[in-house]
Amino acid sequence: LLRCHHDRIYAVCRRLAGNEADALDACQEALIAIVRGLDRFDGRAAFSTWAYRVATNACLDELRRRKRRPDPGLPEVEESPREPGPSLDGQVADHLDIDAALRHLPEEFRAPVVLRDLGGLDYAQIAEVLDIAPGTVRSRISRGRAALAARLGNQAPAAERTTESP
Amino acid sequence: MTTPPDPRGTPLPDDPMSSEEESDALVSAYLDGEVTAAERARVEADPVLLARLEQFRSVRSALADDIAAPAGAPDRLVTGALESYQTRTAEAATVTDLQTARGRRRPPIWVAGVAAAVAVLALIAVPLWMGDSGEDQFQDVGSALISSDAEGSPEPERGDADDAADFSEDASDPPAAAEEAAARSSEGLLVLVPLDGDGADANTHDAPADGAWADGEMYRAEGWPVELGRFPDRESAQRGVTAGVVRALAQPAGTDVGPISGASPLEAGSVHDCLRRPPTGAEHTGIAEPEAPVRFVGAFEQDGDRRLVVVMDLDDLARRAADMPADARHRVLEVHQVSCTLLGEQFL
Repeated sequence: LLRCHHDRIYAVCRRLAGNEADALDACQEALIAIVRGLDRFDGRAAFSTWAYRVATNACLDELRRRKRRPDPGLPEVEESPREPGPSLDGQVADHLDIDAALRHLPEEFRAPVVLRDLGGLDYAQIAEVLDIAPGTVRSRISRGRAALAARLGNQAPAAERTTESP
Repeated sequence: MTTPPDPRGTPLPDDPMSSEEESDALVSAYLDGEVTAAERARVEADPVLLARLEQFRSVRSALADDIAAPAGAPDRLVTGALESYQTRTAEAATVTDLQTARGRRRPPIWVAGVAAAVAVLALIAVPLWMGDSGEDQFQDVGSALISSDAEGSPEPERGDADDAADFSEDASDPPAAAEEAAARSSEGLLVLVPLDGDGADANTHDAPADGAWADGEMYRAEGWPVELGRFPDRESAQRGVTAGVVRALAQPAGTDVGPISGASPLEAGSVHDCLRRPPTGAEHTGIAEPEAPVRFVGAFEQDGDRRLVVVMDLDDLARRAADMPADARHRVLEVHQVSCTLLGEQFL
């Protein structure tokens, strides 16, 4: 089971953590939490949904613990504003960009986006994992993506994005 | 959960969204396939929304970029997780005779609980078993017990499982006082069924040499599985197995009531998983959950195939966790070769 789900769990941790070292530690904590929590899995939800819930919580807990500890060795990476560009594809080739963009995204938005785009969970599953309403999932994913697009320099001017619909 | 700050640094309006945010929400939901037909048509007819869609697609693509774990990391992580678990449980892992364990492990409340449960079961079962008028009800219980063929019949989705549980509510209707007494009686829950390929005793395992058994004690329960007979078809198996289970549960001497454990985490997981999706290549070998009182294990043959039926007690926590009916007493599984099927939560 762990080997079946490990890749996507690591991917979720990787994006939640923002760097490889923290992701590995968080993923380890997540896998341990899954193993230790197996006897609490009641079979009602899909195993993957349950595993993501455990992994997400373990990962976020680990990251919060790290945040509380002093970290003298790692300078804060500040994102410089970008000029709006026509293509995002070229810019996101450097994965540091997405990590930096994610780092600026509050956890409440980051987790749903990551669970959706990397975990492949649907809104109902994300709602269950994060214990929020499905409607909230929808709005947080949307706002999270919009923020990421803006951070990655692909935010079109608002005037251009005004639709004809009311 | 409190409303988070706006990811772009400005306060998040509670209600309503701006038109721009509404458009983004629509496009985002479109990308995720979470829109209605009308919403889909609206996005596809609007070039501005389609352009925004491409931006969101690029964000999704960026998220998936370069996130593979470093070489060797998967093995290290999985091994680390398993070692952590095994280290935690190694000291407690032993193999103990059930008779020995029974004398020292069962708390007084458990003894009282079982006695109450047996009393209730007897109240329910004996009239059903002895009287002709009980035949129909027996059939009802039987339908709940083995209402579907385990072969090619995966664990139903949530709605189906609920249906099975609902069905059980019709199966019997114990008096309120007895029901209340029984509600205090159940303890623990677990699932897990070993079934050797040759149909050997499902409850006697030798501890693996590598010490892979996890979590606490493993009991050898003599007398399990109870042989429930051979049946030519499903219908006769329904009647016979149900009668056998009810009769066994009504026995006052409860010789084999006790927790059974002894599966590795992976094995436990595979059985948990099989509640929804019976795997085709895995073998289930063990009963997990250290404190799970397996109430009964029986074996029967249907069409020449050997199968097991397992009944576990439910406690309040298990009922709440699985959203079962408050009056559910047991969880019943049928095990056939490498698949197991949750048949429902019910009283017997």
